Amino acid sequence: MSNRWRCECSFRDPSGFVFYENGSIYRQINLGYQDNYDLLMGSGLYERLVQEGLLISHTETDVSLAYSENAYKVIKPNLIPIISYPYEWSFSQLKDAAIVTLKTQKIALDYGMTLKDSSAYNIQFSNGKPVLIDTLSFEKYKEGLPWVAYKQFCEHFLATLALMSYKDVRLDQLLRVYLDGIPLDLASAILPIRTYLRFPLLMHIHLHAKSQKHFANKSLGSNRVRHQMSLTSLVGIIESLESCIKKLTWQPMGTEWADYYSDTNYTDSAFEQKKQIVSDFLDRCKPVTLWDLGANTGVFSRIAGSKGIHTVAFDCDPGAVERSYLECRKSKEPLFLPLLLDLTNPSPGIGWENKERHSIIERGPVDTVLALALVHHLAISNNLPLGKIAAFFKNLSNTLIIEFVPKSDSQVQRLLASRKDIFDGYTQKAFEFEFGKYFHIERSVRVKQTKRTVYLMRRIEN
Amino acid sequence: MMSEGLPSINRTFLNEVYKVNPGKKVVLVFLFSFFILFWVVNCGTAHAYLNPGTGSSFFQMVIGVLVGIPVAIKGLFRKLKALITAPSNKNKETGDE
Repeated sequence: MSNRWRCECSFRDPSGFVFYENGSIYRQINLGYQDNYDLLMGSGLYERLVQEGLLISHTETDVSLAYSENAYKVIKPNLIPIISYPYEWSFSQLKDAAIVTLKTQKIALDYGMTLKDSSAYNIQFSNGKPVLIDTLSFEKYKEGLPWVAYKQFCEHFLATLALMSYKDVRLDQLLRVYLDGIPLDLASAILPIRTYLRFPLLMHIHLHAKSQKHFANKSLGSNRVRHQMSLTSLVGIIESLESCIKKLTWQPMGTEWADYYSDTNYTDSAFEQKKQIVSDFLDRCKPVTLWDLGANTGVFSRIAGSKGIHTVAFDCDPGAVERSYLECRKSKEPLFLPLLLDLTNPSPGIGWENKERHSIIERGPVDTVLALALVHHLAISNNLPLGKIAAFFKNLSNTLIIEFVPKSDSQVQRLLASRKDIFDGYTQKAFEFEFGKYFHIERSVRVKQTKRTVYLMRRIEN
Repeated sequence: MMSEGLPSINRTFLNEVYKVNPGKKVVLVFLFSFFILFWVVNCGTAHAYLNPGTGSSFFQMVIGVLVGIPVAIKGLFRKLKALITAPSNKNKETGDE
């Protein structure tokens, strides 16, 4: 089996592609992109964008590493700890990604270049901030041509953010269905009538959608490229989009989990003890990478982040993820990334052959998984048998820090209050038995003044 | 009501439009329509790997005129400011000598 393979998601742009070799990531730049790459590097644009934290940095490697014959260069980009997708981002994460794209485009124009695409998938989070990862997104600006990526920007970013802001924050999940952004006619149909009174939204979404519909299957002329759009107009479009995006807001209020920690059933000292248990367990297993599943606003995952562990905090509540991201942005936590994920229906593989965007499981495994106060939600709210939960966790990590909350706990009682208790198998003994099939229980500590137990488990190697 | 929703750059443009007298407004509308017609007749295709969409490209050209005005005004203002401040800076330099 070869240690070298081409990334399944890198096939649309003929300028080059991403490939992997011995665990390292490389980007081949094809001969057809030579002039644009030389302009990017020679004009000072690359240096400026990297300096401003807008573009991922790279080093040029030996061209003999090239994957195919028509290579001009091979570059080695800085590694991104985890690839995430726009349908896993909170409102502010998507908004920041949009602003990075527009800032990049504005700076590129100053250097005589332009972004030839503006896909939200070209943005990734590195050191807690969004950054453009596609070095081949730039091309020489030709005076008079409109922005080729305007439609894509409106569909990936503007329509999604407007729907989240004006209608429902959960509408970002449409991006899981529409791989290349939310169609503008759909966004226009869903958005409330009052958005017609917001001039930028009227312009960039509603009228834009009508223009697309009017010109569907129509050609506007010959193949001669004529110069019609001034640079001033192009800058005007970018500034108008930027102003529009900056004015879109969403407040995470009234969501299920965003206020979770003010609604717990244990005392401050028990809460502090639980933090200490997690900290001690982390010191024992010393992971480099960690996923916190059901992280809420990331109180416990931040313990890992503070220990120099690359941490991703997943939660299914958009409000909790938003709060977590805002906190992360404010306190500049480079190793911490909150993401939106419903564990009962996690991100699947989507796109061509279901391989363009990877499922969350394909993006693992990690060294350690943290799952506090999660199992009772999976078992009781989602009727998942303990055996299935254990089998799921065994594929995610080598070590597992997991909490068991028994039926007698008031939080579990609350889950059972409105339904019949059909969960005879939900016991601590059954939990230890099912997880014991795949994991060796290394430590278990009872959280004082509660009936909860936190376990440190290590996967049994076959 | 409507102006509440407008960003400052577009408000600036609309203020400029509403300030002009009705005769000038007709000329403005005529010029705008002429521009659109001119563009529709002459438009070509861009050879990019991404399909920019005919409707999106056309629409960009149309709104580009509108949203470009504040940028042009800002540019002019910057040039004017540079013109005004340049001689005084020069004098300052001479004075220092």
